[in-house]
Amino acid sequence: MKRKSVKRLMTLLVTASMLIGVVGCGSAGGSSGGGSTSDAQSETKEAVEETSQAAEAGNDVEASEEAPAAESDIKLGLTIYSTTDATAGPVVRNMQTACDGMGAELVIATDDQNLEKEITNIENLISNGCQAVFCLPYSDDSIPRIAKICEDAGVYFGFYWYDLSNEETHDVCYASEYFLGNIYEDDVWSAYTAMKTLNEAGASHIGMFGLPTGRTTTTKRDTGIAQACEEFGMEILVEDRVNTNTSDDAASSVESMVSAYPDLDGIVIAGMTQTCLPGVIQSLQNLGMTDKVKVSCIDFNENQTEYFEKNSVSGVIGGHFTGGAWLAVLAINKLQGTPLIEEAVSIKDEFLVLQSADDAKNYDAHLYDELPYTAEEYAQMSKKINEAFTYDDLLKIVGAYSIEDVMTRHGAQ
Amino acid sequence: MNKKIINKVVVVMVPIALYLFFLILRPKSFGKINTVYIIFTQSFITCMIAWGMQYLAKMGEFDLALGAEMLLDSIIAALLSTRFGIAGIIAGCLLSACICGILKGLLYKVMKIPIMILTIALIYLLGAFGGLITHSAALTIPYEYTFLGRAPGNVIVFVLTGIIMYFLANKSVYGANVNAVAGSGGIARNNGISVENTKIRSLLLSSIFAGIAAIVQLSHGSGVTPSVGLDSIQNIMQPMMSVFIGFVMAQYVNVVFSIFIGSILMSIISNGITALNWSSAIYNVVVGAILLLIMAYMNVAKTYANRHEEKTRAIANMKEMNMVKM
Amino acid sequence: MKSKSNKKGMELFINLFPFISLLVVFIGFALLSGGRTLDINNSRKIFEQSFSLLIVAGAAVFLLSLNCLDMSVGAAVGMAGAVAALVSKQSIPLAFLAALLIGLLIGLINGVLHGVLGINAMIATLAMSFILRGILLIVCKSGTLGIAVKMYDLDHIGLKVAVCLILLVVAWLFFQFHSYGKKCRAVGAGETAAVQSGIPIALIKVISYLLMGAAAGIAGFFTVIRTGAAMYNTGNMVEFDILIALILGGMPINGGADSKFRSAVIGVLILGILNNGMVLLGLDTYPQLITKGIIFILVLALTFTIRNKINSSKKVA
Repeated sequence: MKRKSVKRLMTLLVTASMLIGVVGCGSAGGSSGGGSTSDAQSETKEAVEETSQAAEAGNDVEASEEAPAAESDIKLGLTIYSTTDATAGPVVRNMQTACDGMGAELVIATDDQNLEKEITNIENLISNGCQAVFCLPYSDDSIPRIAKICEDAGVYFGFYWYDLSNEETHDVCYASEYFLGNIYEDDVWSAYTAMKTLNEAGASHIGMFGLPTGRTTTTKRDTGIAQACEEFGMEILVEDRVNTNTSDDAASSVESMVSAYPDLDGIVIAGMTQTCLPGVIQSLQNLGMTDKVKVSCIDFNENQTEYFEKNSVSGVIGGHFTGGAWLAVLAINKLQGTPLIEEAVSIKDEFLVLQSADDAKNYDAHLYDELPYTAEEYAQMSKKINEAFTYDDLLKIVGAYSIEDVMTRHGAQ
Repeated sequence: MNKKIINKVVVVMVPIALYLFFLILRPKSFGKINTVYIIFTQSFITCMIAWGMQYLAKMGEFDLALGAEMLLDSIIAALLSTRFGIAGIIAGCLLSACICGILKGLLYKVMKIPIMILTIALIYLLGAFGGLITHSAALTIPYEYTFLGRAPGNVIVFVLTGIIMYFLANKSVYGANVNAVAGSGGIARNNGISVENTKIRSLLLSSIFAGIAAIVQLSHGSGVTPSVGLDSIQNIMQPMMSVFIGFVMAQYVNVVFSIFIGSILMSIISNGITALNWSSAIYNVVVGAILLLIMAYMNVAKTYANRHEEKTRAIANMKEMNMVKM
Repeated sequence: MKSKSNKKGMELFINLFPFISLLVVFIGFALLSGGRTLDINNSRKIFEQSFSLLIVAGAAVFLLSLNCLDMSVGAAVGMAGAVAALVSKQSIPLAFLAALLIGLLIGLINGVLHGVLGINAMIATLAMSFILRGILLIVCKSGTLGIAVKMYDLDHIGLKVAVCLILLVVAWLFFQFHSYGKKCRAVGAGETAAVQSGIPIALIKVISYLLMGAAAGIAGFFTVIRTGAAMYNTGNMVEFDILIALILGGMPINGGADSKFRSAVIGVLILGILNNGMVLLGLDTYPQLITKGIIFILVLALTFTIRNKINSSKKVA
């Protein structure tokens, strides 16, 4: 009897220690996002190595998480749905580089695209001592709440990936002295452009994959798609918004779409690209319809270069990864007592459009593996370091964002 | 004899009737032979998972972590495929499935936590583990390795799995043990069958069948994205329904076949909803509602049958007593 | 003799375990975060973040003591929130009533499915949760559902404390002293015995699911006040949080006579401090989930094994 309970205890302990090791490894890794399976694999190895090092160093999870910036007393907070995937990962990396360059600490919390969790994260980041917090409000209606939390705490706030087009919320934000501004993308344009690339490839009867309705982004993208339909005489025959949990679901969905709508000749993926795209491409290949049905998507993903090489996609719109960094530039300057601009601002971030394998390769090399701006470049955006820097300079930098711009600056062209 | 054949025909008629229903609504898409082909091939994955699930389900238990497990299987397979190609995919899925199955069995044996609670907790662990090793990145496998996701690869895997399933369910000691435990745990125990071991074997078996399904699923979709939380249960709703439909029909045809019919029904519904361009949210509502209806029907029918049995027994007893009196 | 003292020790351990865990979590995070978790503002936030969970966990005690589960609580919270947001444009009291009613309706359906029709509780409520999430997606079609501006006035910590105290005290009294609570525990301890002693099991179950639904309705109402809007994923994973909180609080997973109401309060507190602390320490989502999952399984296994031992020694005695 006794031996049995000892055994049980041992099993529990072994399982626990194993899994706790995994936890350590998770928080230690998470730097560069993966490119392909092999990348992810090598990352795993790195992470494992890091864990063993961390274990030697007394298993201090927190230490390996913290950015090397330190010494500064400026602390910024970010709540985002993921820190590693192909879309959110670069946002975090760019923002981290900006903070490193300008001498600030960045604390990150993840929220699974859940409104309650987002609010909770903001509260907890403030408790953690952040002097400015940034988020992507999942609903217009939550903005008054976010504004109030930050005002009560006397903490600056700003939004990335967010268009303050709703008049009410716009007024709420601009009435607050703690509102720094918002960085937004033209999501009507992105969806319109995705459709346009399909049209240029000769498609007009379209099947659509997308995010569930109910988000500002979705509404905008729907508008863009509708605009393109009207302008180019295209038609959305069928849509799949929620039923795509796995790539296999997307593959099945394409089979059903093609079978139900024989004249279907294009597929636009306006969300959930990372899950949907592999399934869509695979399914079209299986059906032998890669040439007949054209594909375009919004949001960059891990496999786009390969798909361009095989001519499986006609266009990918994305690359809007610097919003968080611009907010950090605004906030750090303000907190250092040398604001770039006194009032709140709305800055439009540019999308990148990839239409060939070369585009995709250039993007990978110069904007993903290396980031579009180095820590030194960000440092020059701090008035404390570079007194001559102005808000207009910032706007010029933001407006010039493109693959060519980065390649010229970094001497690759 | 005649009645038996009629029953079998009726069972086969059910999917045909449902197909005709959608044919009338959308003759353009349901009037094509290609649609029939798609419905068949799409039901394979569902059916293989359902076959594995049915042993536990028979004993009133459900492994809710199967969806999360299949995601992890696919992730490990995709990682291994970069080195070992198609062998990596097969080995990765099966290996991960076996480890998951053994882990579940071990946890169940050591900790004696009810299976459903244990597997709910495992969903979070497996999902988070998958996210951790991939860093949330979507993984893909190259087209050259996806042979098992399309005909004839998927058909071969499906038929082989079906044959194994048939022998396990109908000809093996294990299958008989499951039936005994499903009938009554107490009686099975008295006959020297270990209820615990039978359940542990079923846990392992459901994992392996799901692992095989994961091979076909990964090859069919060519990609896998880690997901955390209860979302992965959605991936096993279809198989679960197929199992229940299969159980209802199992009194007329062999359970291996009746579960396949169940999967085909699910496949027709999902294709029908796409063809009508209804919101996919409606699909969730429809699937959930059908599941509840079938379960309610099964329970009511069982209670009714029990009462009927009691009544006939009482009548027989009374007759016997009358006889004695006479 | 020895086994008797052993048994007493085990019982003491089981009873003290939740308190020890609470203390460990409290002190542990205070030390790790350099005292930041003890800040008065942060404590207030922990309460506000745990408020909805506290209410639903309080109701879940009744269900779990019956050895029943409800996997649709999260979706019910979401539905109630959405309905409250929709109606709030007309009148706020009406919005509260609507949320409560929708919760009760969902509870009634769950109760009938399991209590009357005898469908496995977990499967029935899981199916229910998918149906509700589907409906929620359709309802939210026009965008997220924002609440009326006036409703923000209700986001007052005094009101929340009052609501919470009243509901919990009433629920505690019912659970501990009223015959209904006793019957719940009796059913959880053994359905056959309960039937034989004349307890109307179906009715008890339906009432418990109704309570759960009402709690989900109230929680939904306060959740949208907190977030300002209802979304298709409002209330996600609440069902798991309830389960983990109750287990941490010392609730036996099979219900029965050992069920205690305090499990809800202690468990939610532990979970609240844990969640808050993990963000303060900057832990990523996956490690957070894994930590919670491991703690859940470990505590479950530990308490389950010890309870089994106590029970078997009782049987021997």
